[in-house]
Amino acid sequence: MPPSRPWVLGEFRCLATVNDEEKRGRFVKLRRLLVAGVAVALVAGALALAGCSSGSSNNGATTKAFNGAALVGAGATFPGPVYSAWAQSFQKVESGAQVNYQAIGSGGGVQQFTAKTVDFGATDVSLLASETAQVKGSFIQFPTCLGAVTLAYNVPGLSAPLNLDGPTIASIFLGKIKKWNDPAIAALNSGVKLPSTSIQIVHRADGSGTTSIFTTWLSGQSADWKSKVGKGKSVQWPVGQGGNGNAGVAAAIKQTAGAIGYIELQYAATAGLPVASVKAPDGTFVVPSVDSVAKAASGLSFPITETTNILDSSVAGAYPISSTTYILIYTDQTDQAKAQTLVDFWTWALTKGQSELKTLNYAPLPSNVAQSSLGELGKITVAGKAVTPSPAVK
Amino acid sequence: MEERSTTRSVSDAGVPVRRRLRIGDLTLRGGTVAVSLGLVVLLAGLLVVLATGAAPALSQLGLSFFTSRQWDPVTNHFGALPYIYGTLVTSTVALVLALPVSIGLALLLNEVRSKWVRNPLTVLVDLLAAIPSVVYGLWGLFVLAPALNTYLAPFLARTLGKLPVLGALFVPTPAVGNMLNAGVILAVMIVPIITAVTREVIATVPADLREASLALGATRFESIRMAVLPYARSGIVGATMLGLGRALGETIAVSMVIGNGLGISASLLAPGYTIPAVIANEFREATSTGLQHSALLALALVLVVIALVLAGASRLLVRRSERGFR
Repeated sequence: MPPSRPWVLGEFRCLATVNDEEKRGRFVKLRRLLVAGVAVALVAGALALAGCSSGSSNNGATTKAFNGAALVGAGATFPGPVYSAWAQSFQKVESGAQVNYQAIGSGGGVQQFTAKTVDFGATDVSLLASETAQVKGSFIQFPTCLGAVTLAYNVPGLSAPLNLDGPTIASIFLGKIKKWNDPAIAALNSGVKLPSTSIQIVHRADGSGTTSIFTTWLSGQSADWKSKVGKGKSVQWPVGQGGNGNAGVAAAIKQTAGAIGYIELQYAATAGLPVASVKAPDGTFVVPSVDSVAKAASGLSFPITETTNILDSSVAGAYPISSTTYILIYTDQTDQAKAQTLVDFWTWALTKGQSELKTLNYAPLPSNVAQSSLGELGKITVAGKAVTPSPAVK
Repeated sequence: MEERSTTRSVSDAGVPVRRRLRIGDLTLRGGTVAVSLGLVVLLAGLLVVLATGAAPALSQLGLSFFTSRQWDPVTNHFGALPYIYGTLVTSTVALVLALPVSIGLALLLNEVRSKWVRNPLTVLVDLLAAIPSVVYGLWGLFVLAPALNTYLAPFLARTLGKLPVLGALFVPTPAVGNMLNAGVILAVMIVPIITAVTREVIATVPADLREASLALGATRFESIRMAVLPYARSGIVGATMLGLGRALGETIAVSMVIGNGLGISASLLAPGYTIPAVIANEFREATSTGLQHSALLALALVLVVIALVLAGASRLLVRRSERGFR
């Protein structure tokens, strides 16, 4: 047997040399492609293995103290960093609780929740009546943390912080106000010397809850905006350029003289850009901050419906463009361990977990709202029996 | 069985060769047939999925999907024209910039005999191809775009912008993201692809041809122009199409530097938008209740059709140029 192998190989090699150079070039290329393909396959395989091992290891619900089960959630990108941080910290409370949150976007979160492929869904916009109608089974919806949309700008030569109100912001984003020294802006900033730089609009290019919150607010501020643009996760912007995500918008603002754009509060804090104070319904100008956003949320009422939002809160000192983000969970659970982990995790997140929010530049829920959310969690049952939080999370 | 045993021959080493090769041949044949059929099925499946997904938008919007400049998810009116325009413009800019560089590089890599120059250059070009596109995007956003906007754009506006017809391409706008950025980034991304393939093609030019032209008194440049390039022409067209395919489909790097502005502007210094960029940007949060989801799938279908048409056109071009040469 052994002597035959070199013979066959030799014949193949011979075949190869018979062909012209062009063919040989092709062989070489083929080989390279093969090597590359194998490498890619190996990496993909390794990743898949890693994913499997981290995803489905522990289901130890039989030990004395409740240890937690693996949970899968999906949805909004805005609270993604918070949920990941919470998931990590919660493992110190229940070591078996592996909360795997996929920040795929609010739309995807609602879809997966409706399809029951996840243990909880997450969305930046409370469920629409039409979406609620598609959900089979009763569910709860509660806020977990707060955010806000801030107006960041880059106006060389402007030192004082800028004051803006709703109609002016709408006119700016409609392209009607073209210069920074426009009388409408000057009227809101008496005593501030405004440059004649032309205004450059930067908006989000990707569909996002931030855009939805901002355009919903603008629609309430300006009839013109409502009729010409409207509200949604992506809209047709009359003017300006689009950046990808908060980082893309911030980068474009930084690089463009005279630019103004909207970014999330937790991002504005780290972007190093000045942000405008926005006129509240009571006529005062409010600086966006963790505290002014928390004030806005104190007026939140339950149950959460299609029209629930905390925009233009009447509470004194509340930032007008504040927002909440929601979690969706079915109340009739079938798996005892999962249900227990769900209740434990979110109970912990709404109580002890809230203290982690400020370091991430998100605003924590006011205590009355957190209490109402905990009340919603109490509706979760397994086979008709209520699930009470484990002692460890309290 | 009978027949096979009669055809069986025995090699010098005493091993039945025909049989062994035959099993190999059969497996190879079965394997390749299965794979190629699978590929056809895959492409067909892809088109079917895209077409069914796109059907609601296309049937409701009709021809206006291709002619309208509006893309308004709020009122459910969608027009693909700005995206088609942006895609074609950025790819064209990329090709115009990349093709001369690539052919020059490929010639250099073939002509230079010193391996101290050739090997590092070859590795560098291949490395360029290996850089993930999102890295190009980041570099474009934070380094290239600011540099182009500070230095190149004003310069172009001052010089080429003054020309009668060509000037319309270089009307300055203050937007930091624009189609020129995207074209330049794409050019950088497709240079390695076109170069690598062109290099291989040029390497296959028979030495006789070269030597003959040199013997007739041609200079090195004349020999390249009259013997090497015409012979390699069809291969270069193929390489260009490969590069164009990449440029058409590139998503994230383009989206990061093009400005994502809905509008059709003659100026390369104005923001634009491409088909892959808008799909990537909006798909994640596209509402399934309205037409947006379907309109995005229709855009994907348009992109696939553009790519297929170009691939077909390049086949024709290759065949034509081959006939022209031989």
